[in-house]
Amino acid sequence: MKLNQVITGCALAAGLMAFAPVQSQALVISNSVVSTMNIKATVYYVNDKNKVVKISVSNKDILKYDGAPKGAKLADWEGDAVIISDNAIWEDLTVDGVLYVSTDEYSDNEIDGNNDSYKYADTGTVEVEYGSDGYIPYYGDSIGDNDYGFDVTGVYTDSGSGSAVKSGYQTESDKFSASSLAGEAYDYEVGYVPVTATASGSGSGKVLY
Amino acid sequence: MRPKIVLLVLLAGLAGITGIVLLKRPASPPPVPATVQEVQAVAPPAAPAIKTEAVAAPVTPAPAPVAVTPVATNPAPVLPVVDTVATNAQHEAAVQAKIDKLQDLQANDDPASLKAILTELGDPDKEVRAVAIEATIQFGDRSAIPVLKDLAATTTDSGEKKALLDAVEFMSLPTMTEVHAARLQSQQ
Repeated sequence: MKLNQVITGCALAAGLMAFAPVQSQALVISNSVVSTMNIKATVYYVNDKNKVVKISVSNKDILKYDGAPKGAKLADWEGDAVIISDNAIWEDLTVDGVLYVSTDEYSDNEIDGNNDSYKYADTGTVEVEYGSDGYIPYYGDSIGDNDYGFDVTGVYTDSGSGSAVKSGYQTESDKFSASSLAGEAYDYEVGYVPVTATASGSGSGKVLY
Repeated sequence: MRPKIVLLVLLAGLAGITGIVLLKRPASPPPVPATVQEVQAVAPPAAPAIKTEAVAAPVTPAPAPVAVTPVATNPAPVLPVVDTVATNAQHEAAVQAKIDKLQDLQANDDPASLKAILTELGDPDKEVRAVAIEATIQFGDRSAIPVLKDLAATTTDSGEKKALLDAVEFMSLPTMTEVHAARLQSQQ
């Protein structure tokens, strides 16, 4: 191969790499979009030296305690908190009483467009219940029945859209955010303690209309 | 001199003058207003009418009617609006793809994934940067803390600075996993 052909080839490859679109990781299971969920909480307590100690809880703590495989992620699917691994539901945490997110919508609006496209927004209150060993208030249990757990509430905002239907398919997207949650946590070593938390999520995918 | 010769010389002179006058005409066509030439050269074929007028205005101190001509030759001004919508949709799709990718990367624990997340902290889109901060937190590798601190020191966006510093604080805390492991170890 001539040198100028090599250079042209390299330039073309570099150009293609520069303009290569980011591969979308959108996931749809049983025609429902899977939205990645992010939870982080800060638990407060005072130790025996009168010092306020903080402990963090994030997705990986919840996943690790649950024994989820490497690379697994928390997600919302059809209103249930689930663990996704290898693009499939590995565990339904809501069914198993580990994690439950419920919303109470207070205000919403939707603007419809052509070909069944729409955009919506809503806000209300949200409650996030976590019980490391499968005991949450949603099923009438107490978070104190777990080694670790929390029950937090606060205001959420949510927005999303559906594209115009094309060839029988519609692209749905949703973004959820609750940045100032607070409530009580339980730590088997220290008992009930205060906790602040945030929860967010987003997802998009093409569904059969 | 004979009268016939005199007449011939006069006719030849007249023919010469007429020839010169006729030859001169095509060399100097009627002056085309400079505005038309300049505007046609400046205006891109798909430029919106408003933009063309804006370009024509400063170049055209001459009569306006001629300067308007290029506007009529442009495509309907609706096209650029449609293009803008398409561009916005493409931009939104690109942003969503980056967000989806970041949310996948945060579940990993390899250095390459962390590097890819940290790169997105400098994305031009604010939404992508915000998701990258969250992804850095969820990734949970404290080696990212200096990067977050550096960005917090240089950013001019107060909201982003707070988010970066909050991330530093959160990541500096002992995690539930670490606390639990330490307790199990002390029990043994």
